[in-house]
Amino acid sequence: MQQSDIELRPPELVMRLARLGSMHQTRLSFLRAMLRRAHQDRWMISRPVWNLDSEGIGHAVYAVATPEHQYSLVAFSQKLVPELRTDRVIAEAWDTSYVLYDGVPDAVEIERLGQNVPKQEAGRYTERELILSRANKSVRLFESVAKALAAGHQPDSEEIESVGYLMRTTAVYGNGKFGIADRDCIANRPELAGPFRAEMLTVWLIRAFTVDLVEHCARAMSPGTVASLHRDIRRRLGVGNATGLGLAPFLVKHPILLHRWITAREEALARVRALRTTELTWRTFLRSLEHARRSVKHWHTDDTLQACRIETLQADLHALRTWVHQMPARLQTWDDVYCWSEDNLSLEGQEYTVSLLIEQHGSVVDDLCDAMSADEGECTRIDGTISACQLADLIDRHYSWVFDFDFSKLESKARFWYVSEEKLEPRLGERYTEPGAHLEQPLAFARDVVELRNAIKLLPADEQIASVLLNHSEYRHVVRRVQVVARYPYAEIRDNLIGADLRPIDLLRCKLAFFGACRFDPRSDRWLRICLFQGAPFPDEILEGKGDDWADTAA
Amino acid sequence: MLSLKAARGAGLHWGLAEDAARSARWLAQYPIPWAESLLALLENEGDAAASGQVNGPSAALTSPVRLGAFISDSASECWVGKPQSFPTVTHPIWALPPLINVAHTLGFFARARIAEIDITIDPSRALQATASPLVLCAVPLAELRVEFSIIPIPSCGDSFPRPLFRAAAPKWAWEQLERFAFRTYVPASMESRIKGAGAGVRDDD
Repeated sequence: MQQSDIELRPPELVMRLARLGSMHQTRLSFLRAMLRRAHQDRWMISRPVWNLDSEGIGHAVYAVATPEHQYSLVAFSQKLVPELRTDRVIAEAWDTSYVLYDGVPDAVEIERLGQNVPKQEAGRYTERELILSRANKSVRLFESVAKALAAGHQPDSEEIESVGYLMRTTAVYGNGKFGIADRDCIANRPELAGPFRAEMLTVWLIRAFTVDLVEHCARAMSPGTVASLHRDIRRRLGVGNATGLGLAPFLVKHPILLHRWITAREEALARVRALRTTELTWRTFLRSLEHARRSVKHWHTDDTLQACRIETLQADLHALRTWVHQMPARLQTWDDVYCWSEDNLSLEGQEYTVSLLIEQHGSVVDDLCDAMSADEGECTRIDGTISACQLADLIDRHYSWVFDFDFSKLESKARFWYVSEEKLEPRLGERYTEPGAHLEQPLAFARDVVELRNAIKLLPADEQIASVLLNHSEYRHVVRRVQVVARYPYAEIRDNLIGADLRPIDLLRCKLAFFGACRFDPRSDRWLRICLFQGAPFPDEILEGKGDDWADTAA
Repeated sequence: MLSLKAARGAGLHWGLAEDAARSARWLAQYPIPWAESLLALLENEGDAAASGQVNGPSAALTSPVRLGAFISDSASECWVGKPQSFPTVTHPIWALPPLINVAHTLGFFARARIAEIDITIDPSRALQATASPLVLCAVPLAELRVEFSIIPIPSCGDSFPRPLFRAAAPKWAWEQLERFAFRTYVPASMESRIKGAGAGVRDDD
């Protein structure tokens, strides 16, 4: 990895939940990295099977040929009564269901998949099934697009822009869930290296299916007058997603992975900040900024807090534009731009500026995508040979922030994370009014580190930690955590995850930004809707152009 | 994930449950009755928890999860060349994964002896033994002897078979593990049903 002359922003700045929850996609985001790979390796995508009736019920197969392997999205479209349509992960029926298959399935395999994939969790799978997913229609938009096309017209572009998708995925499962292939089966395949690469490929192909399906339904309505979606309008359709608390514990449970993601992003920023601007890169930046300002105007939400943030972001981008236009390029470094944003903009504005700065420097930063994977198993061993005094020192150096919270106050531990018996999904309970706190999940590291530090005070300074843990196994998970964070400084979210003021969607947004999501639309403090791939090329466009010049932050 | 929840449901604190789950993942790579063995181990842990023997040296010396954790935590160059013996370890195969982790993390070679079975481990996690994983798994109680070395130890016996990608377990064993895991879930309440995990109950686009 190249070294930059600018230091990485420190964890005490970056790892606060408010900033993590203000992050935006960058060119390091996983879907961007996947599309660049598809473009560079010249993946060939075809649709060998299209077997849907006039109501759009049936199945289809999209085949992807990479240089070394083939994959297929097998899509099933079924009838769904409106009363059963829900985004909740506990749903049992969906408009469409999908599997990413390892290879190209024959008729027997398609029959087997047809018996199981629409059942999702309740189906039975083999290691040929890599990813399982399902999606529901945006009923209003799907119907109106189908009707417009049937009549020979293009759909209303304002409506397309405001919703942004024809369908929403409500889950995308990988890594061995429900009997599908474990991630180890594909981890060494170069085309699927990188976090969530198979998941991103699946969602990209789902996007293509949703458009093909709406055009198919339009054709069935009125074959004589039907039109196809114009390319520009088609590009504005992504895939929606409704993300709730199920995703929230992930960042806490994968500390090394989080460290790698954040380190890559911060290293990218540091490398760019170290560069001087040129006339060319300055002009490109100005164009990116204009594009971004137009894009942000289409970001809508009913959530009051996020709406304020968007308004502030728009003002921030306007202020940034005013400032950069006053500055001649030859006097600037990109560090000047970043420092100005840090001094003058909101968190949303600062992190959006980070995305803008990274965007046009692919040749400088894209290699960092290769450094975003992690093996959490690498750091599971506790070094019990250190003394109580040495452990205390580690805590004081790497967890001093936990002492800003007063856990003697009720509001500091007002919540607890648990897994629901009814539906086996993560939930956030109110400790003093709901039952179950004794079954709390181990996600409250701020509180647990404080308890550990207090316990250490009572021990002889030279007592070996191995012997402490022999007698107090209740501290094992937090001792391990402290040692992990001492090695991986961006591994811990530096906030109280059980406080009364916790906004779980900040956890969701951080992860989703790394996925490449945009148009974050909170629907409560614990779930939000997003859009993936909006503006991205479709499979039939992937070999055109540069392959990665379409994002909101691109010029 | 099921192993983790089952271990916690059986009474192990989260840190030890994590260790047990990692060991389960390692054992499940081989065609052995890992789930049945895990159940027997968790029953023992449950009995120990019921009798208050959840911490301390006596608990560790009979529990392979606690013993493996202690060996893993304590291992250092001070242990090199000094054989350690633990006389009565139940289901001693469960102490092997931590030994493998120690060898890999510290760059050690390790020799272990369970009953009459010799095992050698190198830093690349390669393992040879004078008995198959199936025979090792069937040992219910034995002395465990461990020695670490910084120079290669002559390997003994045969290499363990290639790991599988998919674990297999009998339905009854899986259901028993799920019963243990069930103890970690919180029953639904009216309030929890309303709040849920988020996400909408209707399409309102």
